[in-house]
Order: sequence, then structure tokens, then C-alpha cells
Amino acid sequence: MATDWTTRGPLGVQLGRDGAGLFVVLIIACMAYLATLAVAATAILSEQIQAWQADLGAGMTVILPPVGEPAADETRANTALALLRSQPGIAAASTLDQDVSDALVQPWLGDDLADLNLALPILLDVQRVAGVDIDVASLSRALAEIVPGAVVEDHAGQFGDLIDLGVGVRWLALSGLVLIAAAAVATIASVTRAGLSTHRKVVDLLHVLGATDGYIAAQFQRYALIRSGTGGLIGTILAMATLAMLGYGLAGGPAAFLPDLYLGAQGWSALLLVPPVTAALSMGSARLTALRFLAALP
Amino acid sequence: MDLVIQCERLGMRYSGGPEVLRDISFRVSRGAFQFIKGPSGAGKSSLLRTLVLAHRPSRGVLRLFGQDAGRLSRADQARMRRRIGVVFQDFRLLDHLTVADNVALPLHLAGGKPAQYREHVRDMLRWVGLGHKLDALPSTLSGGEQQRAAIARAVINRPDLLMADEPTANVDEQSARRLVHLFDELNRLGTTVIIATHSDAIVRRFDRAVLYMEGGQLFDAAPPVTRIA
Repeated sequence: MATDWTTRGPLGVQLGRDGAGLFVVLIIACMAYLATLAVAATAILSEQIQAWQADLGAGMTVILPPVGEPAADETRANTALALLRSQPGIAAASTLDQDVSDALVQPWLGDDLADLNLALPILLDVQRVAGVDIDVASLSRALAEIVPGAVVEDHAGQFGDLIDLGVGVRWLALSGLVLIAAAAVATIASVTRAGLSTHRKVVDLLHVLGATDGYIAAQFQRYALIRSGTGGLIGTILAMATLAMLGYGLAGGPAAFLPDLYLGAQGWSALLLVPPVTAALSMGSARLTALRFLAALP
Repeated sequence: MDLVIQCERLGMRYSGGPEVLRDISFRVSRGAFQFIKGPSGAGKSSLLRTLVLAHRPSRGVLRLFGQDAGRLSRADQARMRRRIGVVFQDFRLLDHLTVADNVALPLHLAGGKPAQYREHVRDMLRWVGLGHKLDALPSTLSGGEQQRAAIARAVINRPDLLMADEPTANVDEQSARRLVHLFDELNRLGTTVIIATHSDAIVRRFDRAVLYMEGGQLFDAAPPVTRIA
């Protein structure tokens, strides 16, 4: 009686036994790593820009120089607040809590502010009525007349510059992402062409035996899917670990000088898209390259 | 007459080089057994490769099973190739596949499932005397065994046309006789067979139609082939 046999893998081209497989995994892992960081940067900036846009035009800060006597400082603050509250377009005005204003200078002056006995400026938080314009210059002059040295800081000016910068950096990150994707597609196309050339005799044989272009292309497609899927997963996991470590590291002192670089749930979800998108791009690149190569055969 | 192959003033060249096939015109009817005899370099392999649509003719008309091969879509060309079995001079078995998987390849490419063709592959390998080599790799077989595996692969899906390029070139005399008897048996079962060879002994041993080839041109032969140019 005849023995049976074992099928040892896909019937057709034997890809990946030439070391190219590991090369593809490594290259794609590096690209996925960079892509994940670029996606994270884009997501963080998008969230930050949104936050800045929400603040934009919503408020102002009025800074009153201290005179050194608490009673006099309070009187000056109340005078300024009365003027502010009487202005059209201002919804609310209040003195910033001592804790909050202390927290603003703490990174520079340390925890023992009370011991330093410094005369810190009095900060007034002003909320604007949405959609109503305020002549900030006139308001500044009026305040300076009743409280000499008073300065109005309009958030619209500060955040406008920050938003412009953030949008610019976000475009930079997106451009980087596009370049990384293009490089990945080109790499897979190159590897596929090399594979087709290396295995030209087998491809010719399959062709003569009646394999369709789609069947042969599918073998290169599957190869690209597995390798780039693995590479994409490795790169993304490493990048996520890097981001987590960065977040942990920034949770200490230096973070206080920076805006909130916080990657929300949506951001983390976007990172999870990197491996499947990498795999899909690689698969498409391999298929198109193989089909173009095969179209040149009789 | 039911024609399997019809060539008219066929020419073929490789990558813009000189024509290696010139004004090839001949017909092969269904059920014929045809030798194409000629010395090495005469163009026999190029002719067979053109007939199996592995090369595009540079001019002329090639009709296979009544259809103009030049007008077939790529998918139809693939279907057409599945109707043709080819035995290559150098066997062309895939080294990473077992003998059985090599033989099963045409059935797999035609969309068959292992459960459907497993028994058929076993029978085919028994028929060529390799029933005990199902799970062997081609590199472990002798030249004659590899040739028989290649024949099994060529005929596994019962092609309408079987073409063999120097099938006896790499085997001993006894294996050569056995191989040609296999082709003869297939022909009796209805398969049209074309064998390209340089061997006088093989042609003499079997009283079949012969076309002669030299310098890329084909010369007279007896029916069922009709030379028309």
C-alpha cells in the first residue's frame, strides 16, 4: 500500500529562505516605529490645538503689580475687578486663587514660596462673552489709569501663535508619516521585484502550468502581509513602550514647563491602526509590483 | 478535421534578437502522435515554448484548439495552458515540494482541493512506478525517476495536448524506452502527443509522424500533420 504525503507549505514559490524575510521584518519594524511616533505626535498636537482653540478668545489675564501691603493690594484688585465687570463683553472677572497663582511660579521658585516672602503680582482671571469683541487696548489704558502698572494679557494673541506653531508641527508630522509610508511601499516593491527575479524559473514554471497572474501575485502578497505585519507589530509595540516611558519620565519636574502632552484614548486607538495599515500598504505594493512584472510575461 | 495546433508562417525571436523560428507552418490534428526531430539548437525547444504560450510569436498566427492564441485574454491564456501538459528536458520539479505535491501542482492551480485529488495523485504516481516515493523530495530521485515524476505532473489533469522536450535526453536507454511507451499509452487514451527529440533511435523505434527541424525552420513530414506553407 502506498504511503501518504505531507504538504509542506504553499504550493508554488518558496519565498523567505534567502534572508530577505528578516530584512523586511526589520525595515518595516523601524518604519512602523517612526510612523507610530509620528501618529502619536499628530494626535497629541491635535488634542492640544483643540484645547488651545477652546481657550482662544475665551479669556484674558490681568496682571496687577503688588504694592507690598495685602490691604492695598486687595483694594487695587477690587477696583480693577469693578471696572472689568462693568465692561460689555466681559462675562466674569475674579482674582486668581492664591494656590493657582503659586502653582504657576512654583517650577521656578520651588515649594517654599511662603518662606521667600516675595511680593508676587496679583492675577485676575477674566472670562469673555462668546462672540462679543472687546477693545483690549482701550481696556488696558482704562485699567492703567485706575491701577498704575496693570497689564492685560489677551489669550487670543498667545494661543494664536501657539496654534499656528502647533498646526505647522502637525503638518510636519503628517508629512513625515506620508514619507515613511512611501518608503515602506517602495521597500516592499523592491523586495518583491528581487523575489520575482530570484524565483524567475519557478514563476515561469507556474505560468506554463496554467497559474493565473493573480495566483502568483498572491504568493508575494501573502509573504509581504506576514513579514510586514510582524514588523509593523514589533515597531508599534516598541514605539508605544517608548511613548509610555516618555510619559512616565515627563510626569516629573520638566513636564510643568510644557503644555499638556497627553495622548488620549483616541490617540492610543490611532496607534493601533499602524500595524494593519502597514500590512495593507505592503500587501498592495507587493500585489501591484507582481502583477506589473507578470504582465510583461507572454 | 479537428485541429489541436495550427501555425501559419510563425516567427519568434528573443528580446529583439534574430528570429529563432522562421515561417513555421504546420497543423496537428486531435489524437496525433508527432515527433519533431532535429539537432541541438534547431529551435525545437523554442517551438514548444511558443506552442505552450510561454513566448509570444513575433509574427504569424498560432491557433490552439481552434482559438487564435494572440487574441486570448490573460485569464483565457492561463486556462489554455492548463489544457496542455509539458515535460521539460530538465524536469523542472520544484525542489522544496514533495514528489506528490509537484505532481498535484496542476490540479491545485486548476482550483482543486487536496481531499479531491489526493487519491488521483497516488494513482498517477503508481502508474509511472513512483507509488513508493510520494513523500520524497525530487533531489533524492534518480534522473529516470525525476523524468517520470515530471510526466506524471504533465498528465495529471488529463491534458488534451502533451508536449515533451527531449524526454529521453537525461535517462538511460531502458528508461527512455519505458518513457516513450508511457507517451504511446497516453496517446492511445486520446491525448495528442508531440515529442521533440534529436534521437534517431527513438524516432525509428516508433512508427509515428515526424517533422524535421533545422535552423529554426520546419521541413516536410507525413500525415496526420499537414505542411501548408
